[in-house]
Amino acid sequence: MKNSTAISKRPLAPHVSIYRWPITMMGSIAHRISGGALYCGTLFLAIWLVSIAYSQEIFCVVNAFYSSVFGRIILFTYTFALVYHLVSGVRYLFWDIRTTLLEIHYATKMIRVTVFISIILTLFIWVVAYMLL
Amino acid sequence: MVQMHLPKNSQVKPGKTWGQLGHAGNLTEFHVYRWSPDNGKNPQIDTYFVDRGTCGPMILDGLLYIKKHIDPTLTFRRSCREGICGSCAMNIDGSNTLACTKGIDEVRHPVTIYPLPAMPVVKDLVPDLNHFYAQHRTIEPWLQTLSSEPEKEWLQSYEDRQKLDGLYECILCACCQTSCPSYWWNGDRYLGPAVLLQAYRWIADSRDEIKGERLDNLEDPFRLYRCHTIMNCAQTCPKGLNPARAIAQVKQMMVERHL
Repeated sequence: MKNSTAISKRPLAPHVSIYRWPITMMGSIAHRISGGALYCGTLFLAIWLVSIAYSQEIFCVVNAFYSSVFGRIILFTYTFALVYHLVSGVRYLFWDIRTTLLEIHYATKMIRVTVFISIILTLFIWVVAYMLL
Repeated sequence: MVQMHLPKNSQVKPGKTWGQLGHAGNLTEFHVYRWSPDNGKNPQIDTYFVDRGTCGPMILDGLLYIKKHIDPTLTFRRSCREGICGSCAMNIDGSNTLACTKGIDEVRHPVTIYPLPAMPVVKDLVPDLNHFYAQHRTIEPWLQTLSSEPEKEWLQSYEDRQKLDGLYECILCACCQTSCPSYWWNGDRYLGPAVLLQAYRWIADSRDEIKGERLDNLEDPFRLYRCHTIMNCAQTCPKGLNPARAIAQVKQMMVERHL
């Protein structure tokens, strides 16, 4: 090909930096981010469980950190990530089963409802947890 | 692969501000992406002031005004000026649409205009869509039959014809195709919303007789299943179509034929 050098020098048009994110795209990105956050959260859970098996001293240190304000903030975020990822995953199931729900006005509403349910459920879990303490 | 940063030669630099013509009170600012293959420079954003007194109401009118009165080197595709040819698809105010059917006052000012995202740029607002057309070719977008030809046309019931509504209107402008983050990251192998909507258009056609082969051709982790229902396609389509739904319907057919 005669022009192949010239074609390879063509710039790529800007994409994610200039695109205005619709709410459905934010929902999708939040699903990815919460999924990633669950890896970290599960790691924390594993550390906590391993420390129980290991020795009482180590468990006390780990548990003290987890019970601190900072630890609780992380735990709260983990709870929200878990709940959002779950509710959002169920939303994807609905979308796969009933494709009419992919009409823009339904889809937009479903993203809002997902976030709303996630917040309520997360708060509910924490309120119950504190009541049981 | 997710590639957030643009390659070095694609990073956009500040550009030139062109002089104002007409009455200062009646000007709308346009920020337009510019790149020329001739000067070896990076892409840049030029600023123009469009005199609304002598310019039509649409974004395309604004671009034509710039080309006629301010800067004749500004390059873009346009043809029908009524939203049916799909030539003037570009990224306007952060989403992809047709410049001819988007009003200047429908978007935020200053008006920002980029070429279709994540496409190689030929010049200014002209993207290279060859890869998209090649992908479209792979789904064999024409009627294919096995039974012998009828004497006249292939007949279709009213109900079967209705199944093509919301599919046949696609003008292949590539607005949805280039709005899709999955296509930005995996455009080499993922067919993208426009091509998949077309694929479904032929699968859903009662007259077509190679549905199985068409589904076989799509049964692939990349070609079809890179769609993660982000829905930018449906949000941006200037014809109000819903490629995300068409793709979901193809996925359903994939499941159904295994049951």
